This record gives sequence, C-alpha cells and structure tokens, in this order.
Amino acid sequence: MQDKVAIEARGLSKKYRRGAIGMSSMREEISLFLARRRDQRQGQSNSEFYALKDITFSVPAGSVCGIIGRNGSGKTTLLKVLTSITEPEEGEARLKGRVGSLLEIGAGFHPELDGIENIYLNGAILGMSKSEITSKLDRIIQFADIGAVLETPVKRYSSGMYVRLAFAIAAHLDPDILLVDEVLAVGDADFQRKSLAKMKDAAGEGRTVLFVSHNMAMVRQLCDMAVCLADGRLKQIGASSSVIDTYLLDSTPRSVHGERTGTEELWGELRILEPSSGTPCGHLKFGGDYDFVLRLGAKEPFKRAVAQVSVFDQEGALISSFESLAEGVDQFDIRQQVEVVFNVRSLGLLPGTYVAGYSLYTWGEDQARLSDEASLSFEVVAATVNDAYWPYLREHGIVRLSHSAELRVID
Amino acid sequence: MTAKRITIIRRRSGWFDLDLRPAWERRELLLLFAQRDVVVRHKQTLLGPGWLALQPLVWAVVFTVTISGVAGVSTANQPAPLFYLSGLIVWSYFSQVIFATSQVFIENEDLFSKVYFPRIIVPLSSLISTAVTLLIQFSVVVVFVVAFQWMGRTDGLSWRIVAFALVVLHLAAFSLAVGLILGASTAKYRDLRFMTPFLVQVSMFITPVLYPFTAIPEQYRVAASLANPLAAIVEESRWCLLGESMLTPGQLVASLLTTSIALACGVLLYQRVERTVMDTI
Repeated sequence: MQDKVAIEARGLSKKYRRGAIGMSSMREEISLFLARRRDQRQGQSNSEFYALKDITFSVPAGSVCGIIGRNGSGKTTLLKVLTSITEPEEGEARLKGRVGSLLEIGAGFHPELDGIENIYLNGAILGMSKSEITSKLDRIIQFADIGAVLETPVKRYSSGMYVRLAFAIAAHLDPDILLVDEVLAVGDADFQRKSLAKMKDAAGEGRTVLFVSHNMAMVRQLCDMAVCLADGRLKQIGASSSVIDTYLLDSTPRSVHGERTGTEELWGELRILEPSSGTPCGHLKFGGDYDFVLRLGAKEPFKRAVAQVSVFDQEGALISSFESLAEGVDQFDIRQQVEVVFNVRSLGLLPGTYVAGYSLYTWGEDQARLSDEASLSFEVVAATVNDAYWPYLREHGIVRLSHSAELRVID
Repeated sequence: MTAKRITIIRRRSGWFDLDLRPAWERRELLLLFAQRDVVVRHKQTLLGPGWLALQPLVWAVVFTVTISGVAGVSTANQPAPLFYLSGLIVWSYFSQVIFATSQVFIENEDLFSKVYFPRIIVPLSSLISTAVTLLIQFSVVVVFVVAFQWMGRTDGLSWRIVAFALVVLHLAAFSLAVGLILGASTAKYRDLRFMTPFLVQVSMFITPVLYPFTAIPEQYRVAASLANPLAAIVEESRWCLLGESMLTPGQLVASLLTTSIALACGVLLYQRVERTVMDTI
C-alpha cells in the first residue's frame, strides 16, 4: 500500500510576517526585531500569520488531485513548498518519483535565443537532461507547430507562438509527479483543450498530477480527488465532486445583500439595486434592469482608482466583468466614500445562480488593492421576453445573445 | 519497477545542512546557462568578442600613459603594458563575477519564484561564462608577451604559463566566495546593492594592479595577502605570464587560507538564504 502513495505531506506549516512581503532594509529589520520582542513580552504575535498550518494529506499514484480554495487560502504557498521553491517551517513531504513543476510555462526563456536554443534551456531548467531533450526534440517541434520561426530569436515571436513553444516543452517533461498551477488558464480555447487533453493523458499513463485551480468546472472535469484549503488549513479532502460541492456551498456569499469587506482603511460594499425603487434585490428577473452599485470607502485618500465588478457562475467560471475605465468612467480618487454604479439593462444572464465580486485597482497596476471574489450571490429567475409565451430557462445556457427574432416566409 | 527516487521536503536546520549533490546532478543546466550568457553577450554586437580583447588593451594604454608615464609609478622592471595587462585581466574577471553574482536573486527573481533548481548553479555558471572572457583576454596578453619578447624587452614565455590554469581556479574560488556573500546579503538587504560597485572600485586600488606588490613594505605582505587574496592572485598571474614575481610561499598560503574560509562562508550563507529568500524578495 505504501508504494502506491505518490505524494505524502505531514504537518506542513509555513509562517509569513504580515506586511513583510518585499525587501527589507536593515533599518526595517531592526524595528521589526524590536516589535517582535514587544509582542513576545505581551505574549502574542500579531505580525505573523500561518500561510499553511498543519497540512496533512496523501495522494495515491496515478490520481489527479485538484487543490482548491479562495484567494489567499494557501494554495500557491503549498505548491511552492512542494516544488522546493521555498521551505516549510515545520512538517515534511515526500514525493515519490521524478517531480516536474509547471508554475509558469516558458520559465527562463531568453528573448535573444532562438526556438531550438530555448527548448534546450527551458527543458534543462524544468529538469530534463540534454540527451532526453534531443530524443524528444522532433516531437516537441511537431507539437508546437510553429514551423519556420524556430530559428528566429523568441523575442520576435507572437505571444501565441511563444505560448505554443513553451507548452510543447512542458508537455514533454514526462515526470512521475506533475505539479501544475493555473498555467492552463492561458492561451486560446484550442490551446486549453490541447493542454487539458495532455494532462488527462498524463493521468492515464499512471502519472500523478497535482493541479491548483480556481476553475471548479476544470477541476471537476479533470480531477478524481481534491483538497480544499481555507486560511492555510486543510478543510476537506476526498472525491473531487464532493469537495467541490462543499466548497461551493461554503463559498456562497455571506448574504444576498453583500456586506462591507476590506479593512477600516479601505473597504468596499457591493449591492444590486432595482433602479426605480433603489431597493436591494437577490432575485433578478431575466431581461430586467438593475444597477450593480459598488460603494468604496477610504480613510486616507485613495488616488487613481479603477473599479471592477465580476460575475461568476456557480462553478467559479468568470461570466463577465464590468470595468469602470472600459465603461467610460475615468480613474477617480476616493476621499471618504464614492459609489460606482454599473447600469445593467435587459439582463442577458439566463436563469441560474451567480456570484458577484469586485476588485479595486490603482490605475496602471496589475495587483488589486482590494478584492472580494464573492461579495454576494444572486438568482436570475426565468422570465419571458418580447411578450413571448415561453420563458427562457436554465437549460438555455448562460447568456442570451439574440435580441429578437422574426419569421420570414419564403415563397 | 526500478526504485524511484524520493524527494523529501522539510525544513533544513542549521548552517551546515548542505547538500551539493543536486547541483552536481544538474551540471548540464550549469553549462547551458554559461553557454546562454556567452551567446547572448555577443548577439547583435558589432565587434562581438572583439570588445573583450579591446577593453584591457585600452586600459593598459591609459595606465601606461598616466600611471607609469606621468606619475612615474614603478612597474617592477617589466614593460608597463605587460605589467598592467597581466594584472588587469585578473581584476576584470573578479569584478565581472562580483557584478553578476551579487544581483543573482534580484535578477532571477521571476525564474526562481517559478522553478526550483539548486540556486548555486547560476553563480557557478557565471564563473564559466566569465572564464571564456578571461581566456580571450589571456590570449591577447600572450600575443603581447611574445611581441615584447621579440623586441627583446622581456624574458618571454616559459613553462610557467601552464600554471595559469591553477591561477584561474584560485581566482574563480575567491571571486565566487565574495560574489556569494554579496549575493546572499543583497537579497536580504537591498541597500547593500549600492555597495557592490563601490567595493569593486576599491578592490582595484587595494590590489597591486597599478603598482607592484613590492610597493607594500615586506613585513606587511603576508598580512596583505591574508586581507586581500586578490593581491596574491595578481602576483600569481604575473609569475605565470612575465616570469617574475615577489610572491613568497607564505603569502601564497595566506591568500589560499583566506580564499578557502571566504568560500566556505559564502557557500553556507548562500544556501542558507536560498531556502526561503523567495518569500521576501
């Protein structure tokens, strides 16, 4: 039984210092040291938190295991520990067999080198030997399918070609254990299908895959088991469908009204209002008019803000995002409070349950300053359009793209 | 089924929990990194490796005119250009390795946070890619020595030139040591980044590149080699190339001693920092 276990983690823990992500200067280090001494005297430490706390699980060889959880639940930290990028504080993990990790495809690609040179370099970085790459070279080139550009420096590649080449190398890594981050979320649909198929093949060949993802539909489709993390702790482990169901149930927003999230210094509150009456609603009529109102507050003036509201389906797949800039609202400053109102007219979401969240950015930055992926959930209820007799229902899909229909009789 | 290797992930405790085997297993990657650095250095350049030959030559001319000519500093009875060249190639290797290695965690942040491989591979690869530069510059110096010999200005080459390989080892070991210490410290305290260029400049003056080793009073020479192993390494290089040197065995041992201690400290410090540095960089 013991040999059948590919990954075994026992009591993995890792602490981070709050706010200490980033370089320290010696001056900060000294003040931090003093702060820690003060904390110790008071018998508490509020500057440290566990990114991972006592994670114990095992994954049998040949299974595909999804790791799910909300942002900041420790998924990525766990992956970084298992790939040796960083060390755990306590505990131990044993990985049986050759380990390949794909936290990013094309890691170490050098823009000045040509395709072939980069295949060797990237392959070696991922852990392949030179002879192994040489023997797989033809297959990699064929898989990438980018033709004559192989002898051009990759800096001249289109992003599509770059990704294809990078993935072709990764796909031929053939490790016993593959640790994958959401790298699959890049590229076009065709590419995603290809990479999903490749991951399924890997599992079929008896390899073990650990797959970190936000996309519940993908985890459900791909994984036979799943691990759910919450606040750095292991919440549930088991068959993927049951873990996902529990996760979705738990991550259903705290209320249909939405509540204030964030900190005293910077907070946000998302609500859906009926435009005419201004009353909050949790049940939306298909085809109706609604305002998605995001109220933002900041203690210190927050400059050059950009707001975004996103709607997800129950599986966590993104359906649509509304962004203030794209809607024509220029970057704005938050002094005290502001409200960003996204006007949704003749709601095209087909009946079903949806989750809405928001993020707040500083203009020009990628990382959200404040974000809540699941502020509220709402139900879209069936309704008829164009005075039709038959309503639109759940089985019609996710969005309605048509506007109206007519009949033309051809003689 | 063959016995599969088991990767054990746990906290390595203490300073001496050191395992260099994984680095040896990935030696192909090491060579590929070195090859990449050499290839990339000369892409889209006009003179290619010609620059590498030109640099010490220009400096040698400048120093011959200013330090030797104008200031009249002794060049230990050697033709001034040869005297400077034989020291400059050593110092320039040192400075290049230091610049590359002291930024290793910062410059490779993206890569290091996405893939694991023994981090020491990167500094080791820059030893090799910089050695290619050294080899080119060394050949230029050899050509000059032969030319001066033909003019009867120097004794010329001898069997000693073979020993230059050992000089390179000593030089690489010391450069790596300083580079690792700086690289590990810079990753933790970014302020130290400003110290590196300063340190490299200072090293030029506290090392007998522009003046003969004999300018240091005899009773201090062992201490000087102990404090700055590079001083002895420059003399070793002159011994190989010019056949004359004031280096005594005592000074050599002193230099080797400091080199070994610094290298041990560097490797230990580096592997200590690499374990968790990606959390804070």
